[in-house]
Amino acid sequence: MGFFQMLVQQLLNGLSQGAIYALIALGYTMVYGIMRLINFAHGDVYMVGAFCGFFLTADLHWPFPAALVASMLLTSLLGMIIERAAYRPLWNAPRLTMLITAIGVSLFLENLFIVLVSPDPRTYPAGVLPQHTFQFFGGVRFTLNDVLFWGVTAVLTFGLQFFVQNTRSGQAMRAVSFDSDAASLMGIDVGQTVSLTFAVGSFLAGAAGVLIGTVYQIDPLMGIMPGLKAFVAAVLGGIGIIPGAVVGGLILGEVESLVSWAGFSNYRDAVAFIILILILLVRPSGLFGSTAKEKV
Amino acid sequence: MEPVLELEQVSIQFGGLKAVSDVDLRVESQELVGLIGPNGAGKTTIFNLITGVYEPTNGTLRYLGAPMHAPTHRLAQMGIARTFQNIRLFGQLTVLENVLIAMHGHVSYGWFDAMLRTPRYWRTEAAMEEEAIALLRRFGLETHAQDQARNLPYGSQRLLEIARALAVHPKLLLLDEPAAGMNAQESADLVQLIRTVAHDFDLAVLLIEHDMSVVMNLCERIYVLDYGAVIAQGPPEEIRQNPKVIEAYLGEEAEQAIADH
Repeated sequence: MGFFQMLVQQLLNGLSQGAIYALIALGYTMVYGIMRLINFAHGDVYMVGAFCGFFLTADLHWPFPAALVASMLLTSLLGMIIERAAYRPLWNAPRLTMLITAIGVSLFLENLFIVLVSPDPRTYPAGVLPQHTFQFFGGVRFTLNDVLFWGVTAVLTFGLQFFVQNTRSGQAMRAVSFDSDAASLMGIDVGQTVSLTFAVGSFLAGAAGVLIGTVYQIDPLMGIMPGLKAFVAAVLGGIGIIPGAVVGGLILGEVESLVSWAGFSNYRDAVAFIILILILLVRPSGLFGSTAKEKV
Repeated sequence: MEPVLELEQVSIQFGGLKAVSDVDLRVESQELVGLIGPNGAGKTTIFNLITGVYEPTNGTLRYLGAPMHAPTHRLAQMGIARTFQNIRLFGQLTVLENVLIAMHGHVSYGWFDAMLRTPRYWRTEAAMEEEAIALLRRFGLETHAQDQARNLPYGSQRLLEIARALAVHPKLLLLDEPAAGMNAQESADLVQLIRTVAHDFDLAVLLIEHDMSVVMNLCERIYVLDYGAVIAQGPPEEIRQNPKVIEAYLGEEAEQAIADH
């Protein structure tokens, strides 16, 4: 393979990782948009999604598409429960209280799963997805799994955009994120809208969890690093801005891929946080921050 | 007939400060009532009590004869709408969306219809949009329907706030300084507009306003608030003569005069 082929190969790899970050980052950004909370438990919702997919395919032998959808529904339920149980009682408390609670919820979920399923890594059953590798352009490869990552992410991202722009509930979300007090005075149930936002964000994280499970081992602490990186992605794109989260996720995936390729794979994780520091220094409102201000 | 709104001995205390004390106030059906008083007299606090943003420390509020115990969005759905002193439109949404959103409370299809986009969904959507456009037309805003609300000129934003409030299908409309920032001609037009809208939509209106010409021209009855208490109430001509009112206002004007020099 020549240099150019290698480059394309790395970019494709980065696209798959970036898709996962994008799906998680969307949940961060939506929750932030609507209640100015960095929901640090969000990475763990992704972990729970991965385990739902695991048990549905390995123990109940569900076909993969059914397991994917069911896991997404289960994680959206989890998201709503977290919001109702942990954050709703703190609505009138200072934001810092809620942030600390989010870290608490995160630790709770991690340790709950260590107790429930043991800390051992698991692998999705072989053959849960048909395996196929495509080759083109003189040796550049991608798998059916990659296609699935890109396809699911594209469908969910555009679906989300449609939902937010063209449905009543999406309108309510935008109104609440803009001015929640005014929204409630116009008859919008803010509580219900917040609950829906958590459901949708967790729905996407659940998808990311199941997708990653088809490729990597899963364990109860698997959500920590992707959760933090998705947070970086959301900040990079401009927190609260939906297209920003997707672009931020993809950029982060690509950068990590290129850094590994350049021989610094040990610094992969560090690079994400260097990006965070740089963006906070240079452009704290993120790439999309000042021009497009659509928040949810 | 039941008054639309009735406050009985309503008080609210924030820490040691009694922001509103023992206020009695009523707004009859189709009545235009003014609420005036110096800055900090508690006028907006009363609006916040009526819309359920604050719970009163003491006293009862009744809406259409029934005690009010509901969260803010429920009260809005029951027909209490308001506008804001400092305009609070959903700036990033379109003018049309701002109005449509306020109709949320009486959407008559459920999740099922919305997900499957049933005929009922489309019928309801079409009817709502028609109503919203009609409302915008009334305020001369229909050509801006697809513009972002924040791009409207100031005067139009004030009108859109009223249009949005009407989209709630209110029985009681609370207007918080609707004439703020308007010149004499605009204020006069506004008075006319509020009068016809109140008549056509069968509204009771409670209005906070500093512009005395607006209040005196529009309102049938006026409450004067000072330091959280009602110091006078009655028709405009009586209020104008009331020595307590003159004192409360003169005091403020004197302070103003000193501050200006």
